[in-house]
Amino acid sequence: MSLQRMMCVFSSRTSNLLLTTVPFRTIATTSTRMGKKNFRSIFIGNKRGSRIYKETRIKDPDYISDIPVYTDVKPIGYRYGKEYRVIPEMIPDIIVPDLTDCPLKPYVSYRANVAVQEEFTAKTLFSFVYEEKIKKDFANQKLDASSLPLEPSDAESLSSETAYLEARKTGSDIFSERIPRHWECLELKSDK
Amino acid sequence: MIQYLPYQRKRRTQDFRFTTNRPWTQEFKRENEGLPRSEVFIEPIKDWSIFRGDRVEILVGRDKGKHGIVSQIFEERNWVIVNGMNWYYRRIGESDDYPGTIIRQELPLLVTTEVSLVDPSDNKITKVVWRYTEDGEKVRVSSRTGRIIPVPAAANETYDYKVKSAYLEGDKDTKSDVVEKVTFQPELKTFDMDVMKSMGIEEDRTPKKSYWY
Repeated sequence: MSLQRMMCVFSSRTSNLLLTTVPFRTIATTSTRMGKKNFRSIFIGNKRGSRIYKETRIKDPDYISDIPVYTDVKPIGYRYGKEYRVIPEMIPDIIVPDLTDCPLKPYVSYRANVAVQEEFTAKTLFSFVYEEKIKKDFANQKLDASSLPLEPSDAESLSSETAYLEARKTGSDIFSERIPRHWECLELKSDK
Repeated sequence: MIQYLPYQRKRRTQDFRFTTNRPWTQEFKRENEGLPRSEVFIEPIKDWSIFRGDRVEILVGRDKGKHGIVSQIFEERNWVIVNGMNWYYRRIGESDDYPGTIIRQELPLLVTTEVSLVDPSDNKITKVVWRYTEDGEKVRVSSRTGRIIPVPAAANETYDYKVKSAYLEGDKDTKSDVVEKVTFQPELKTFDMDVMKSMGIEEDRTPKKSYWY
């Protein structure tokens, strides 16, 4: 330990109340700098700041590449040990439809009489799809003893299994297997 | 222990003194920059009855007994500014060599004690209550004569329009007829199925059964 450092420690013990930070230098015993940098002269940004600010920082000549500037923090894969595995399906694919001649604009005119609509529940959907047919069948006595239709329509002949398969046909990935966490991927390297 | 961060007390509403300058203006900021002033106590009014464009009679001051039209309302202080009434002279644009222009500035009046609504039937002061008509509309009724005092049209005026129907639709405004049109058709489809249908994607394959353990 260098003499200067020792003196600093001694002074800090005696003058605890003052708590002045006395700068001192040390001798690094390893060959690398051990990440010691004079951070007072370097401005380190954080994840905050608008996109424009971050983009200008990347173009800045004093920009340090090992302190990255994040503009999008959503993951596109998972960490497997030390490496990061990219899953192409996780990379967001933003599909924007063609908005030329679209009558819908960002704002609503003050002139519009915005009516309050009733809540759209499963009950309303049921009544919209089945109600008319049921009423017609009941009037024409086309319902059997257990109130099931004798001439079912497409919607009425849909079974729960078929509906389940139809919904899964979309290939939506919300029902797929979950992404393994990093501790689930690391293999034990005991004797290798 | 030494506190490294300065003590920051949150600014409460009592720390602001509301004035005739609106809170987003520079004058308001200047007025509220220094130490917080003593709190102003205002009478809580349950049913606010005076609106912009109302004819009111002034009960105090030099203009006592005169009628005027309300031009501005400050609900935070229970104030009302009556056009051309309760004014005082002041100079603006004063500098070393220029004496400044003299203008008349109206002072606010308290809604509770200094001003009163005028009944249009006999042009005399009256207290007002809120009642419902047979159509279900909430209206102000003079407690003395029973005459309905309608809320003036100027009360529904904004920066964007004088009357809603007279609003000029801009480029970024969705037209009113487009907004009022109901285009939703309920279908027995999930969101993904609906998207597939609109994009014309057809799927013949059936997914294999999956299990959760």
